[in-house]
Formats: sequence, C-alpha cells, structure tokens
Amino acid sequence: MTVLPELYEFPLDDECYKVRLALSLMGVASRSRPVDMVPGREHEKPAFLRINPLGTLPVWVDGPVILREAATIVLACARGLKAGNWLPADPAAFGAVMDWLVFSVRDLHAAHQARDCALLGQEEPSPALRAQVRRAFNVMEDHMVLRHIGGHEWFADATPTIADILLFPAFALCRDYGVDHDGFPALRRWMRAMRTLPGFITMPGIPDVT
Amino acid sequence: MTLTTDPVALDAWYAVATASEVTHRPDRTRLLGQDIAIDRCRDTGAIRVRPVLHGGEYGDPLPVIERYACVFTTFGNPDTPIVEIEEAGEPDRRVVPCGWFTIRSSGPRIVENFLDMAHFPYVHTDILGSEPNTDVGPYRAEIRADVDEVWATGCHFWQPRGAATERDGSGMMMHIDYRVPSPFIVMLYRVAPSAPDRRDAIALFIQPMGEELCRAQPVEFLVDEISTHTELLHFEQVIFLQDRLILENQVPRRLPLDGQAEIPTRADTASVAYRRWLAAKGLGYGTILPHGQGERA
Amino acid sequence: MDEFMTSRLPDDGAGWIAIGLSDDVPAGCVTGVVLAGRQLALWRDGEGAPHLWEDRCPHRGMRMSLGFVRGNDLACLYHGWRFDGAGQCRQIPAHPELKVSARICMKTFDVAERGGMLWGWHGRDRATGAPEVAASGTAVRSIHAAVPAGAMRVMLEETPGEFFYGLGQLLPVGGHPDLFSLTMEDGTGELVLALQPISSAQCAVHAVLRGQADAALRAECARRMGWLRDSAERGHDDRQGADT
Ligand SMILES: [Fe+2]
Repeated sequence: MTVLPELYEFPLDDECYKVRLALSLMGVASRSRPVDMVPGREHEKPAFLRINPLGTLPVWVDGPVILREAATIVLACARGLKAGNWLPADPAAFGAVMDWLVFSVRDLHAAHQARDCALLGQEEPSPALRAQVRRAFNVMEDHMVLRHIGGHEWFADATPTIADILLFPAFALCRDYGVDHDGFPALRRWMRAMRTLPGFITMPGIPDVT
Repeated sequence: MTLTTDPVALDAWYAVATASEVTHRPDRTRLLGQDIAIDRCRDTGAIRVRPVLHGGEYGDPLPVIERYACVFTTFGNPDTPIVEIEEAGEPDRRVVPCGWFTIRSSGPRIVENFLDMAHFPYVHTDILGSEPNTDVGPYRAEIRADVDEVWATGCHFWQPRGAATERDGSGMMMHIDYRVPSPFIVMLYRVAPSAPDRRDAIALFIQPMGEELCRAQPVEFLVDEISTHTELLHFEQVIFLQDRLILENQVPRRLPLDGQAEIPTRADTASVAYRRWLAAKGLGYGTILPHGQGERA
Repeated sequence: MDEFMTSRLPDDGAGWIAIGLSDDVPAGCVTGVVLAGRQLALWRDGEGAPHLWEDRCPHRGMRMSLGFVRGNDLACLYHGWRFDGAGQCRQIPAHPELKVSARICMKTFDVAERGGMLWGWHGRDRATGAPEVAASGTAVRSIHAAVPAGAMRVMLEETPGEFFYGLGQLLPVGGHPDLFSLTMEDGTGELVLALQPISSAQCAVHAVLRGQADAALRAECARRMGWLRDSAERGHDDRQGADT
C-alpha cells in the first residue's frame, strides 16, 4: 500500500488553495489534514509547531520531506509528474515560470495580507495596501495584454504552467478585499480560460456556478 | 465613528467576542459605531466590555452576559433577554463557535441571506443545493407578536450535502425552521441527519460595527457523534464565506424596508416578514426605512 | 438615500462614452463598467450581441456583473434569476413553473459597438446616431488608472510626447473632449484613444488601431499605454503628496 503525501490545510486560506488547485489540475493524489486555523489557532499550538516550527500553512509532508511554502509544494509536485507541461523544461519557459513563481510569493504577498485583513480584521484593508495589490495586478495585466497580442493565453508558455496556478488565487479572490476585476480585462480573459481547465476547482470567494 | 442614536439598535443584546478567547489584554473592536475594549479583569477574572473614549481612556463598563460561548453586551435597556436556545443546555450537544468573520454589509442583509433557501443551488453549489433541484416549496412565515420574533416553519429543500455528516453527497430533503429572535440574530433548526428524532440548531450572531460593516460568528448546537470538531468548523465556514461574496456585492448594502424597493417572490416569504417586522420596529440602523419613516440625522 | 439608487443621468452633454474594447468582452463574458457615474453590467450573449444593464438584480440588489451568461440570457449569481437580452426576467428557479411577471425586468441602457470599442449612451433619452468614430478598429488595450479623467486629459493634451514619441503626434479630435488620435509617422495607420471617466479617482483609456495593426505595432502601442497609466498614477501620487 502506498502512503499518500499529506497536505495540512485550512479551506479558507488562499495559500492552501494554491496547492489544492494545483493538485487537482495536475492529478496528484494526497491526503488532506484539515487544521483549525480560525478560530482555534491550531497552527500556533505545539503539536503543529513540531511539524512546522514556522506555524504557517500549507504544509506538505511526503515521507521525510516537509515543505512549508505553497509555491515549493506545487513546484515539487510538478517536478514529479511523468507527463505534461506544468513545469516546462525549455530554459526560456522555465525561467519565465520561476520568475512568476517568485512574483507570486513576493509581490502578491500584499494580496494575501489585504485578504487576511478584510476577512478577519477590525478595519478594512488600507488604501495603501490595496494600491500595492493593484500595482502588482497591473504588472500581470501588462504581461497578459502582450501575451494576448502575441497569440498566447497563458503566463509563461503556450500551455498552462504552475505560474498560472500560483498567480490565480490572488486575482480570483481580490473581490474578498474590495478590489474589482473590472479594471483588468486581460486577467479576466485569463481567469475565464483557467476555469475551463480539466480539474479546475474553486474555493469560497470564487463563484462555482457558470 | 460615534455611537448610533437609533433606539431600536441600542436596546438589543449583541455578541461581541468568544468568551474563551478573552484575555487580560484588552481586545479592541467596535459596536454600533462605538469603539469598545474587551478583557478579563485581573482580580476577579470577570469579562469586561468598556467603551473606548476619545483620548483612549475607558468609559464605564457595559453590561456583560456570557452565553452560548459568546460575550454579549448592550448600550441600552433591552426589554427582552438574550435569545433562549433550549438545545444549548442539553448535555450531549456539541457547541461549536465557528469564528468571527468581517463582512462589508449591513446586519439586516446578513440576516436575510441566512433566511433564504432559494440561493442554495447557486451560492452553495453541490453542498446545500444544486440544479435542477431549485424549487422552494410553500412554507409558513409569521411575526409572533407574543414573543416578538419572526419564524418561518415547514421549510424544506433538497440538499446534496446538507451537513458535515453527509459525506457521500447523495442528497436528502432537509427540513428547516428559521427563527429571528432579535434584529441582529438569526437561527435555524433542522432535523439532525445522524439523529432524526432530534433537531440541530445553528445561530448566527451579528456584531454590527457600523451600518455597513459587521463581524459575525455562526455558533452550532449539534447532535453529531461522527464528525470531528474541525470538520464541523470547516463545513460551516465554507458556507459562510460563500455567502460573504454575495453580501459584499449587494446594492445598496443597507436593507431597503420599503416594500417597493426590491421584488420578492413566494420563496421570500420569510424575508418579507423580517422586513415588515423591522419596519414596524422602526429600525433604521443598517436599513433604509420607507420614505417618511424614522428620519434620522 | 443611497446615491446609486437616486442618481440620474444628466440630460445635458448626452452622447456616447467608450466603456471597453469589443475584444475584451467575448461572448459569455460579463463585467462591471461605470457610465457617467453609474455602475452598470456589460455583457455579451451567446450570439455575440452586447448588452448594458443596471448592475443590480431587481430581486435582492445583487450586482449582475457577478452573474453568469447562459445562452442568450444573463443570470444573477444569488438566486439564478434569468433575464433575456431585452432585460425581461424569464425564469425564477425557486418557482420553475411560475410564469414570470412582465414587471420584473432590468433597466437597460443603449450600447453600441463601433471602431473596435463598446460605447454606452449617456443621456436621459434613448440614443440617437452612432458613435462618431470610424467603423473599423483593432484592439490594442484598455488601461484603468487611479486618477480622475481630468488629470488624464491634461496629460494626453499637454505631454503626449512622453509616451508616444517615435510613433507620431497625439491630437485631440475636434469637438470630442474624450477622443484623441495619432497618425503614424509613416502614414500607415492611426492610433485612437477614448477616455472614460469612472469616478473622482479613476478613469480608463481604451485604445485601438486603424489601418496597419500588426502584432508588433499593437504590442508597442500597448506598452506605451502602460507607461501612460503608470506616469499618470505616479504624477497624481506626487501631486497628492505635495498637497498634504
Ligand atoms: Fe447562504
């Protein structure tokens, strides 16, 4: 009997959604370990800290390997696939994927913060934080405008890659913190394309019905 | 922001925190426009709720009642006690406070959404409803003058996965009664799927921070020996966050009480009764009163 | 009273306002747009016809721009109420057998498609005539900027060379405060910009090419539009900063 890798996750968290979406699109099997992040703060308790001393979600446990960042979990899973182009081998496309991967962690962190504040905070996210998110979306929008003109639908290659997966949640969920999709027509087009992929799944905050 | 002058809003009890989460360090939040601080007195261990005045000092403590895992308070003189939920006292009940979430909407819009079955197939797809089973059959809604509550009874809806226990998604007809015991508290009772002779109760406690900004916490009182605590939590939280997307995109955010402002159908009988009840009370906080009624500054 | 519910479009200055690019609203797509201060839903049905409606379901006030297109109908996300292209409600899923009252309908606005752009009619009466632009146009892109239309207009009138150098000279189109045109220096084509006021803090500019519009030129113009947005927002931030 094979032991499935375990994903420690919280269903309302955008970072965990990155991984769930990737696993579903790439057809990777795992076992879900739901964590009571809100209201129980289980991720700050000793039992969880023994697994991930950083106290963050998601966490991926695959035998002796423990990964603590959504982007690296998705990257590792894509690397393990026998087929498909989720992680292109071509150096140019690979470089583009990695560039957007870093962008998703660094530049879209503001999106995670804004959402966290809007969902659980006492005040609405500050205009400055929302402006920071919009600037990151502008960078994505500019890129996808040029990709569209060049005849491409996806961020980094001719077919969808993990770059698309890792960038998707921040934009798809931005209405959760008061940023509309309306000002980003190229991203809207890309979002519609994402929804047609076999294995695509939503999370609360992204409408299910089409 | 300053405290509202709306007498109906002032004279009600509001849940403002989860009792087990209150510590010696004051937590700041807001109720009806007024900043408040909630903490546990170092000497007595009692929970205090105090208004935070301009300049940061605390005003006189407000009344506090610990109930249903929550801390309740009020600025006024409520003429009714905090809602009585009989099920909460049963020894084998699992009481699950599902966490506080912030919503950019009015309390009455949130209550109305909770009373609504017709949205299940579209907002809670494959959980509380799914096409083509969209039919909302007749049910009865009434304002019960003796207890001053709104009730909707005999509600039923086909649900693919109406509770955390229903894992296989084969679906069942769920029988539900709804109850609005106070303008900012709404409840449902349903046959417990794993104990058909008993009823689960779920309450939604709303803390209106402003007219168009709320925090709310669902609290479940369940008969369920099967699901883990985390499963129960996540099931309810997913539902609640799906509703949040709707609530934050309704225009206007405040609930119009004028019967002409929005068009109901038979499925909205509960919502119509709730709106009438609020209009009769003259609640202006988080609502748009019919023209000429309750003009406020 | 909610501003949204009472606002009326002014009768004066009636005319067409660009609200998006045809290419950006494919069949089955719905989006929110602002026309003269009013929040509307813009969508395209399964047969390709565009529609412009009040962004609010008459049932429970849900924004229709979050809805979904089925066939030639737009459905509300909240309860699935389906409205046909004329704005008439055709189906209420909670009561599948119910013959829906003619009273339940959307407030619709006139929309036109011309020159690669979608236009909304701004005025109390129904639309007269077509938008006064040439019939053809190839999409470049739309930009949305966090500055008022007035600030964007000033940039387009006074310093267009900062963004469009090497392409040609951008000039206002006579009689149209929100239209600008740039004839390519080699005379092979024309870049047309249409300014859309959104709010006191936001505007959009929609850009199409006429004549020569190969991918390289479209891409170049698209980049310049990005510069325009970024400069406008930076300049606006600087001015705001200087004020405080
Ligand atoms: Fe709901």
